[in-house]
Amino acid sequence: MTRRSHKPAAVTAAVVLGLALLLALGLAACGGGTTTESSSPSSSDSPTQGGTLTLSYLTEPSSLDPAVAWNVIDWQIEHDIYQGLLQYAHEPGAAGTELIPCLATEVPSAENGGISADGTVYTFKLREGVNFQPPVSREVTAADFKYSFERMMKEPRAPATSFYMGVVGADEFMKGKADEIGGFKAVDDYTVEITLKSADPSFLNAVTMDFCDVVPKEWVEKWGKQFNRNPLGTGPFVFQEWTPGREIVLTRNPDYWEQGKPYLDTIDYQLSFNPSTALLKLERGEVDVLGDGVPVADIPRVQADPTWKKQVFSQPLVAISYMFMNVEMKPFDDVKVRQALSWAINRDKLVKLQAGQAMSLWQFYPKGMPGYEEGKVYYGYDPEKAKQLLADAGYPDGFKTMLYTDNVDPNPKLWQSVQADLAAVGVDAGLKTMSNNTYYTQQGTPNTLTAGSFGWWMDFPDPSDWIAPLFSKSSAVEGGMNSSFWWSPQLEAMFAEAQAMTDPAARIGKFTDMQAYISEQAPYVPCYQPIQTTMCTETTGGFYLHPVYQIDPTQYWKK
Amino acid sequence: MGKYVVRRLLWMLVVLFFVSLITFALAFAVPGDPAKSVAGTHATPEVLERIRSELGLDLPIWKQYGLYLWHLMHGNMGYSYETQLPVATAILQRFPATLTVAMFGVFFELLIGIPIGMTSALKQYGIRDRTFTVLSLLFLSMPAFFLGMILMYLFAFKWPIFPLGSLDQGVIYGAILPGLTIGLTGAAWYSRLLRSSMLDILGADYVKAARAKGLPERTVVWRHIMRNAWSPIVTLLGMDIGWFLGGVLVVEYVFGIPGIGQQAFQAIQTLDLPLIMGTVLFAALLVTLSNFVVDLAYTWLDPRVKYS
Amino acid sequence: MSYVPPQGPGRDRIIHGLEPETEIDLGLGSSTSGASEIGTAVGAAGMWSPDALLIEHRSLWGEIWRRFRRDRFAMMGVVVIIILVLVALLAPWIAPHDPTKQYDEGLTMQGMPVGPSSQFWLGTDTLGRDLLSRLMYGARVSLVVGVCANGFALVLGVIFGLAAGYFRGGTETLLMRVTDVMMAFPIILLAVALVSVLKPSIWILILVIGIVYWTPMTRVIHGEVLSIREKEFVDAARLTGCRSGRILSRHILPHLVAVILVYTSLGLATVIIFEATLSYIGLGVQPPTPSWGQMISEGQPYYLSAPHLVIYPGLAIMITVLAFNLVGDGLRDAFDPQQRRR
Repeated sequence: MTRRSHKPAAVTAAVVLGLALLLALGLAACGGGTTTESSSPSSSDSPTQGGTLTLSYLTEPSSLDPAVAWNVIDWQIEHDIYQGLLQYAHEPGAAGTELIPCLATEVPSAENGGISADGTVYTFKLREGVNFQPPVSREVTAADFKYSFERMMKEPRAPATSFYMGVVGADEFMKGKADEIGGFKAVDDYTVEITLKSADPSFLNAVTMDFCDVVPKEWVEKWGKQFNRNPLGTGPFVFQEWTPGREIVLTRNPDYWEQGKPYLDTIDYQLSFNPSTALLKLERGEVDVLGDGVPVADIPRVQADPTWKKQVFSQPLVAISYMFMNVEMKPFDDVKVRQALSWAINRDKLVKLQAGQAMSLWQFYPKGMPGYEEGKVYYGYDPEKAKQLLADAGYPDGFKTMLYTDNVDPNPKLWQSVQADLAAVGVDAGLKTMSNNTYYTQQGTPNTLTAGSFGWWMDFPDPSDWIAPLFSKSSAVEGGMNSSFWWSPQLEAMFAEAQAMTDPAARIGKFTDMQAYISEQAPYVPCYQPIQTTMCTETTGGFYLHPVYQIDPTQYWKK
Repeated sequence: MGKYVVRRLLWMLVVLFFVSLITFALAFAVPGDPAKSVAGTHATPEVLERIRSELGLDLPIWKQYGLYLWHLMHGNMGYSYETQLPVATAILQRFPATLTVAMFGVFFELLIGIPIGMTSALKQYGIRDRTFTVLSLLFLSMPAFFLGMILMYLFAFKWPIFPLGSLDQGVIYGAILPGLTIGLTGAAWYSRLLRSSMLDILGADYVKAARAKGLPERTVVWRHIMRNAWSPIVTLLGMDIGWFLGGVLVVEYVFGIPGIGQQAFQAIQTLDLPLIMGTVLFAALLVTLSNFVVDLAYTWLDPRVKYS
Repeated sequence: MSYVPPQGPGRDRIIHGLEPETEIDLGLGSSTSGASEIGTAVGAAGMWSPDALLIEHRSLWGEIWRRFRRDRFAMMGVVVIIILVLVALLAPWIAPHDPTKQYDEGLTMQGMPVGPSSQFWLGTDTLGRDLLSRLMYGARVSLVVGVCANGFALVLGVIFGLAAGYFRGGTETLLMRVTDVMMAFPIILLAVALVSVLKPSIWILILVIGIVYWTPMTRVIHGEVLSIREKEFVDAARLTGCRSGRILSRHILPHLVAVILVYTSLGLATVIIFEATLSYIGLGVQPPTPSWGQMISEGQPYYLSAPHLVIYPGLAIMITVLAFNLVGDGLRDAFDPQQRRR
């Protein structure tokens, strides 16, 4: 029978050591080179027809019904299939925030008579000969736009109706008192006329959102509840199939009205891949574009690699991360405390923790939002000053409070840094993380959360989209988005004034003034503006990042 | 015995009922608002109110639960708040992927765990026993995400033997790495339990008698030792199968497998109540069924165990 | 007919043959009741043996301890456990740094963790905190969570499993169906619900983990007991008039010791890793308090660029579990010297 011997002890130790060494070696080797696709740079940089572009995303769309969908990936796919009256210029940077015609022939303005003198009537002339995609294949008329708009407003699950309540007749329609929206008229087959109750400078932006895209009535009625899984519009790509959780395939629209476009034959959305796995797939050429971007943990590695460095694209997102401070809860009801804390947070460190994929934010508007003041710093980073101001406010030894955030990466990590910053000025803050639905709900519940992370991104590039949800009285309610529950009559007046201004430059100036006032009151501490970073393979031609659309496959080609 | 089976199946319904009650209560205990997931964070309070009403969330909780049970009894599991898909369809669409991974996971657990357990027991404290102990504990202590990503990096990326995630390029091919991830982490349980089980028996009289009779070691091991050592293994196997079929979230996340684990987790994050209820009940059914099968298996393994 | 002699703490031992080197141990414990049970059958066998003169009187537990002490590996395990506990207790004094301090030099220019250096012996984590100090402090949380959650699961699991398996009938149905409900229980949902409502605390964590882990123990014990209770010695005990309580503790429980030991020691690793999942949801110790599970969940995205973030806590878990395993093996052998005599 077996006797116990002393050898196994030494052997065990040796085996463990050997394994550890192997593991370490293997992983050290990992950090070094990565398998890269060897492909010679294409000789011409002009678009070529054909090919399949593969993009990877983690979550699949919840809906492809333009009236209802609001997730980033929903919109990404909708942009390939659906179109509306206007679109944004397909350019990177600020140029991409310009509105250009899409299914309308020109952008209405005061000069061309598209907008009436008092700014309440918008007239759109439609392109002729634009057809819905096969198998509907019939011409789009103004009646289709009226149908699509009314459908969207009537849809119980539509999230964006609030943007269009300014249209005459919308109120009655929503309440069921009218069976159509009087202010939205199909004057003739190719003319759409929208009348607003009062001038709204951001209306053109609102109408360019996907919610107003045109949909074919007969197709919607045919599919009923399943329409959100069977999209059909006028865009460059036709929906082909959706294998749940796996992929969505779109093919070229043979009937597309814009000559020579699109370049690709097929777009293949690969679903359920987490960003780390997606990156490996891209390095192997199985995926062309990372829909969810490059994970922070992999950014230094990718930037250090000579082949992949060229394939990394970044743009600042018109979005922010603030620290909200609930002015209805002590001690944040004291403006001096809020101002003090505005000096306490080390924004540069937050940027560093994201491997540089963010920009420190020293004002409330992010770069790319009109109203942004280049180079302006309202509060800097000065812990000593913060401590001094806290002492002035009556808290020489700081105070205890709670900080909250959700568990979506990178928030838990970043807010531990903020927690440490607060501790450095004497504020003892506990940190609690929770799932994001719970977090959003609690943020909107009065007297619940004291302070924590707050994120916001633009619906369209106009500062009214910033001020109204975040700083207004109407938003400082249960279920509202104003997590600091701060508002002021002075700001309400400034906002009304700005919205009535007809001179765009003066109006934006007014919004900038609002920012100065808000900074003084410091209901939030601006922290950083995220930078979106993603990669594409060398065979992806024409790749760029769009400020609104972000990823724009309708303009890419395969080399 | 027949009566026992019927009774157990009836009890299963009771269990499912209680699970549904608890889940419903918990889902409402979470201070969240499903309407916010449906409408997005930019929706105004009026819009949220409207959506809540549309989803039936403004009814009192007991009424909502009653409605849910009523529909359930008519075979309607409701529609997902997020996608408007029928819940039953949403789950069944993703189940085959989970099933594949679960089967491979169990396969590898047994493939690795059983032989190691046997060797460790028969040569207790030998070199192999010690090595296997350390190795299996090493893998047990490694979180599945990490192990999975490393396996994928080494065997799908660096050396492209297996596909980088997903089951599209051949189900068998694609399920090996996920199965291996589960198998390596879980094998320790099987090997240690089997080892301990066998050690208990090795010193027994009848084993000595069998050996004394001159029976070949192989027969002794299989016929006399293993036959009596199975019990904890079978119990564990039943539980594992039940749990895996409910979806191993981490493995699905790492390897891009569109299974019900990811779907269930998403549903909880967004408070998609019908989907939460559906996935939990589905998983509950699988778990209770597999436990039931295990209980029946006891009678077959050890004829002295009887059910009335 | 298969027949497995009871292997317990020697009290009900029926010795059936002696090998030359055998140390005769009649397990004549200090409790007289034990002796009287053995009296007839055992004494008879013993007295006929040629080595009867070598019978020594030893205290029962002392005997177990003696055997255990002689197992070098088990003692190694004990030493490791003691070291771990000491490290955890003395962490505030022996840790080289404050585990919550985020050092500027702890991050590279690009914000990545730093590898081992003279200042940070094991490197830093994603926020520039010293990994070694965090491991030491993390031991406090993880060991407490691991041991308590396991203990909680163990106690509940054994009691329910024993009761269900032995008493059968209504008790079995009730307990096992409750177990079924608990197994199907959506634990993540429970965690999410608790997180939002309660302040993060280590006891909630222990409770939640305990709830998840008592069910497998119950089922395994139940399964084992079903078989064991059919065995002859149990019948014998019943025939001789033993009451249920005694049968359970003297005859059946000893057979379960091995399974329980395995489950408890392996469960430790699983529990600590499950803690990682829960801390991702937010249920766990409040940041910046470290725990091994939390360190793992924070470090996982860096599996390629900074794998040490996951490897070190993983190794820590492995060493802990290994130590408990060795002790468990030793205990099992000590309770049952039959094995060693092969």
